[in-house]
Amino acid sequence: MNNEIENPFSVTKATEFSDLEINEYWVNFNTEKDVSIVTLLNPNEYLPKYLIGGKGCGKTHILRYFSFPLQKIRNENNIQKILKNDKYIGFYSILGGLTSSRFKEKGIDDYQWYSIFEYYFELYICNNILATIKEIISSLDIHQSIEEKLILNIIKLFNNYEEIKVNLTFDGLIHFIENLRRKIDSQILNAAFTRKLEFEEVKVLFSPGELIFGIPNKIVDEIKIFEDVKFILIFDEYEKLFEWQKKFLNTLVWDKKTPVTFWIGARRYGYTTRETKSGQEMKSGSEFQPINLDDIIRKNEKLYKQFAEQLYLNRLAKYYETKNRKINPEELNARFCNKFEPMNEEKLIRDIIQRNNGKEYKHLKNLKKKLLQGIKFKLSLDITNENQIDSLIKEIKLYTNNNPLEQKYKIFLLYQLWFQANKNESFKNILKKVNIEYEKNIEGLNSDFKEIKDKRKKDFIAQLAKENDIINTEYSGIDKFIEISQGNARSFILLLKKSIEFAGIRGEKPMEEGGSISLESQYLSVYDTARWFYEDAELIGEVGKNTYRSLKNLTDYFVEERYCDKPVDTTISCFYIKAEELSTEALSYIDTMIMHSILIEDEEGRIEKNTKRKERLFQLNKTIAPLWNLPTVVRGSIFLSKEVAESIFNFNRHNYFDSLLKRRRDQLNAPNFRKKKYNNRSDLFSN
Amino acid sequence: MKNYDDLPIYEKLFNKIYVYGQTIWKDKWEDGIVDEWLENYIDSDKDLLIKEQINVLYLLSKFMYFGNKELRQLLWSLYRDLFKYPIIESIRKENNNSTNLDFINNEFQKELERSRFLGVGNPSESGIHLLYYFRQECKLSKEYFINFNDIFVTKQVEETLNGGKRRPYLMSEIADKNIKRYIFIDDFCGSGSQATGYLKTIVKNIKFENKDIEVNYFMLFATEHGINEVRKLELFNTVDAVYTIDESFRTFSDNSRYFIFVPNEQIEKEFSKNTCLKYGQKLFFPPLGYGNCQLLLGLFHNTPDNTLPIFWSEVNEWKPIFKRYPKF
Repeated sequence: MNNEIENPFSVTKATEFSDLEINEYWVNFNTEKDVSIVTLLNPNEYLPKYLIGGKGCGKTHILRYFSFPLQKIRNENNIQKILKNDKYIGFYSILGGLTSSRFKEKGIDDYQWYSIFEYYFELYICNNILATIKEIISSLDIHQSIEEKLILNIIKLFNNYEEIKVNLTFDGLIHFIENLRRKIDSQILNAAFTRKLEFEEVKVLFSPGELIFGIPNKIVDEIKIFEDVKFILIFDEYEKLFEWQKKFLNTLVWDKKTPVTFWIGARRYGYTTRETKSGQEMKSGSEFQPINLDDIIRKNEKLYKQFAEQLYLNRLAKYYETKNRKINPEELNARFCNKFEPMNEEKLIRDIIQRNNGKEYKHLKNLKKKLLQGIKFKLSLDITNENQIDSLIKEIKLYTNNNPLEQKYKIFLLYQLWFQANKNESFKNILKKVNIEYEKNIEGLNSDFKEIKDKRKKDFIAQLAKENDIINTEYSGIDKFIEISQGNARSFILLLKKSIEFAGIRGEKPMEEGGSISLESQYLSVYDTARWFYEDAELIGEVGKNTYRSLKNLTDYFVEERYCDKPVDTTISCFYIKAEELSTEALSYIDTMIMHSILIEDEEGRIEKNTKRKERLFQLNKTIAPLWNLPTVVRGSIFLSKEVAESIFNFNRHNYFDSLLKRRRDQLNAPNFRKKKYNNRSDLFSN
Repeated sequence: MKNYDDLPIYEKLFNKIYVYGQTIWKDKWEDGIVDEWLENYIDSDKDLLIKEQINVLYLLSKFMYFGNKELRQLLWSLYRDLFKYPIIESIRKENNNSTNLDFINNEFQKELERSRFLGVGNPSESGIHLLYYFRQECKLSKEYFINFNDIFVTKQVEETLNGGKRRPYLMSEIADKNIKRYIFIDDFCGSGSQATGYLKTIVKNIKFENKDIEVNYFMLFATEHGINEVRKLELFNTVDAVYTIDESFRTFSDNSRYFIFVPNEQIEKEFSKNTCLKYGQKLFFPPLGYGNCQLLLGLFHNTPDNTLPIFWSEVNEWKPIFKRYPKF
């Protein structure tokens, strides 16, 4: 199968789109009625913007959308219209293109590097500006004498302008600047051998900012049609710069001079400083506006859903267009959604029944094992032998029609009652109560099972899937994909891309009439996307190692809570902490995990029942939760005590984690939950 | 660092096979082929069926398929490792371990010119078919390739009997007396029957004519057993293969490499074997492949019948995954 052609979702990164595709696939995210990404960025104002977000949140797509090539597409190449109506020109540059990491070491003094980088940076950006302006001017029928005058004025921005001999044309000036850059490139390239930068080759010819602000200023002065036009310098991939380079860029932003302003795109973890070269911090709101894309999108689930729908509909429409088919959006949506095989719990249960034909279910074997262990440690109340266990299991099977899920419900209540029972209680009584309650439930009367079934069904299905080594298809359907992507457009598109790929490989012909995407293909795509997110988290070095360890500890803890005999909370994927109790190290790793979108902080927090205090609340990113078969719905949250939270997040306390996890395992599982030290804890069954 | 749950075994195997399908099996892959192949397994209840499918998927995940690219690389290895290097070694040995590259190359060229390559079998069979790729990969002139009937030339001669009567008869002799070595090339040798049957007479005749002529038999793949059978003939100077398939490649042998470690408790050697026997007996005799070789091997141009028939057979509407084109 040729995925490039047959998969409308094959491109998942905006950098891989052509300008035309950026325009065609553009969807404005409407945060509120009259507020959107466009109005938030607002190209009509001079306030600089820092567009911050995790990988794949759509930054590049947004920034490129405002660049000059896209303005041309939107304005059908009518440059006058751009200048008169848009009143701005977007100059898009990728900071990664500077290969900023070259500007260090090689036996060269740091201050030389600072100076040469600042100089080079301006030459690099001005090259881009001039190339765009040249294109604009050539379409405006500007008299040659004006161009010559403009170039002359720009040349006068250089200290040694009297020595500069260039053709007074844009080409001449661009060529001159390119030459200066090339000389620096060559010096840097060879610095590892020469251990120095030749002064004559890298001599700085203007003061910082003089060119980057000077050129637009001269253009506006000389050419009337630019009078009210803003020069928006759009820089992407800020995170690729060193800290000192970021400070230099911040300084330019801080010192900005009309008609120039800046929009800067940064990964969340890369937006590390607001400082300028003078050490002062830029003030948010008055000196710049940070726009946190992740937060904006995640806060508006409904709008994100609409946005995501529009994203895939655009791609599908385009795909069918290439097949010469025009389908209206509603029909397109309905057809596409119908391709996703829906989650079917009954099918899953039937599968488990068939797989265990004539054999004892694992959950019954486990129960037997737990009771036998209990006998050994005198924790199984009045049960003393295997025959008693066999009859107990018969009682559990009673009325369940061999349905494993129904048996799970009964076993759960049995565990609850076993845990709570006093020493003289008998299993006969416990089973009697279980069966009475169960019968009431069958008859539709109020019983303990109502709440158990309402609250715990998903968890027990997940347990059954794990015990029987089959996929838990709870992560299925387009709505679930939108939910799982948690506001991240690339994750969402990737889920669709992989679904189409897997379904194609499996012969489900997903893009053909009558084709489908099976639950298995959906599951594999969810798992693969989660794996991509996990493995591509860009966590490196010691911090990376410790962060992954923290994530492992956290998910081990969550897994223990979900896959145990008597889960306390239901569908747990959130936790809350008392932040003031935690060490700086633990909090710093929580922050790192937030920066990399591994954890999502819920700004509303969690109001603690007893103290009524608002505590910090976090969720494991839904995109990666399927790697551990953890839930994606936000329902249950657990409190992590100082001791536990430190062992999870503070690398100095990681070695305590295993024993704390074992303690928790004992609390949650039979028969050890009967041990006195756990049985006295009143919080185990409170929700 | 992987610290997350594995996929369930069924999906894990599927996923692995998909990756093969998109990469090293690309030139054999058809979308949906694995699901179609799994539909062959229908003779059991669901619980057993799943186990059967997991076991055959496991075997599939161990299948060694050599595509066009890989085969061409193997042909180059055959030329380099089995033909060229031993000649160079002896040139150097005979010349005081010379390291003079020009000299060595010149001498090798002379040896090459006195060598001829031949395919094994009928012109429509794979041994001959491979010579075309072999020539391309090794950048050899076509004059170094001949057919069987080019080895000898047959002439009509007359002899004078005692009574002075003249009797005409046919006489064969080596056509090109300048040739020092003949190299027979084959893709696969399972039991060695090609050499022990078909080639035996030809090689005997060559040696009869001139016992100093070197005759070598080189294969891409050969079982240890097959190589030994051919060596036992003591006809060829060298019998060798690029890829020797030892007993550990016999899927269900005691030394099978495939069951030393299994990723899941449901995967069992005995169960796998019984499944292959159960379905294999409807497909081929012997049910575990020709010579009971039990191989998991497929080549771009064909799948040897020594491979488990569940992978290649088409009889009784069985849907193969690495189809075999049989010799009729």
